[in-house]
Amino acid sequence: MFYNNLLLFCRNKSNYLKMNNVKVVAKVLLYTTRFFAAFYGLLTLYSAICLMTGWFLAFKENGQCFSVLLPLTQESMLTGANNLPYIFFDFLLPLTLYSIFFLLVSNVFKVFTHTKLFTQNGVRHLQWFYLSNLIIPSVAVLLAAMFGMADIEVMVLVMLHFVLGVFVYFLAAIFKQGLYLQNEQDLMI
Amino acid sequence: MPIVVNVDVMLAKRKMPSKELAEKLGITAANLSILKTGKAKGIRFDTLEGICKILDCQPGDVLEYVASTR
Repeated sequence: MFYNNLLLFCRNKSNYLKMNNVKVVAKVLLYTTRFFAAFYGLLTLYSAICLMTGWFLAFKENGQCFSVLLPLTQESMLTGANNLPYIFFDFLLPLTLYSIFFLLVSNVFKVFTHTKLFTQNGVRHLQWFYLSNLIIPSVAVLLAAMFGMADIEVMVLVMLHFVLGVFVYFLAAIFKQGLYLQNEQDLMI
Repeated sequence: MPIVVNVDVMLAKRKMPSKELAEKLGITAANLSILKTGKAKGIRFDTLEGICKILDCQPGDVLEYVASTR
């Protein structure tokens, strides 16, 4: 009896420690990705303001290229071709999408910081993440391709996001099943 | 569900309030209510043992099979 109780205690303690490690890693990744989301968001906003107003903006090669400068300096921060399709589809759109991507990733990591892992909210965050990875990059590249802006590196990135989306799709299916089983378990008295 | 939980009948026979049973079993009143109203998906042997011990009855007094009319 004592041995069984001790074994059960050790097993519970081990599971608790494992979940605690997951929570710590998830929390670190949550804050890191939130930081990147904010960074990309602010960068997009700053670049858009600079491009619209001409503040902290420099032109090179007879106005064919632009440089967004670091605030209050003459140091170049971001450089691109000075034409509207490039600015929209190869410059502002990727920055905006990566800001959204990091925000959605952070929401996924947030799911793993909670004590209760399988929740409706968690499933929803995973669904948003896989749908955005499966659809948005492809649509963005199609839009960019219309203006001849899609190159091979971008196609590789789209493929990577697609594969990530497929993996998270299966993870979301596992979470859905987990939520169903947990609800069933909650009705075991 | 063809399995009917007769905890409330046994509680009435023993003149014991639901709250007291829930406390003695170590479950919440809400969970005991789920059990009594037949919304539970299952009952653990531990819980059944506790109910039988506290209400001094047999599992057959608490659970009953009623064939569905469909």
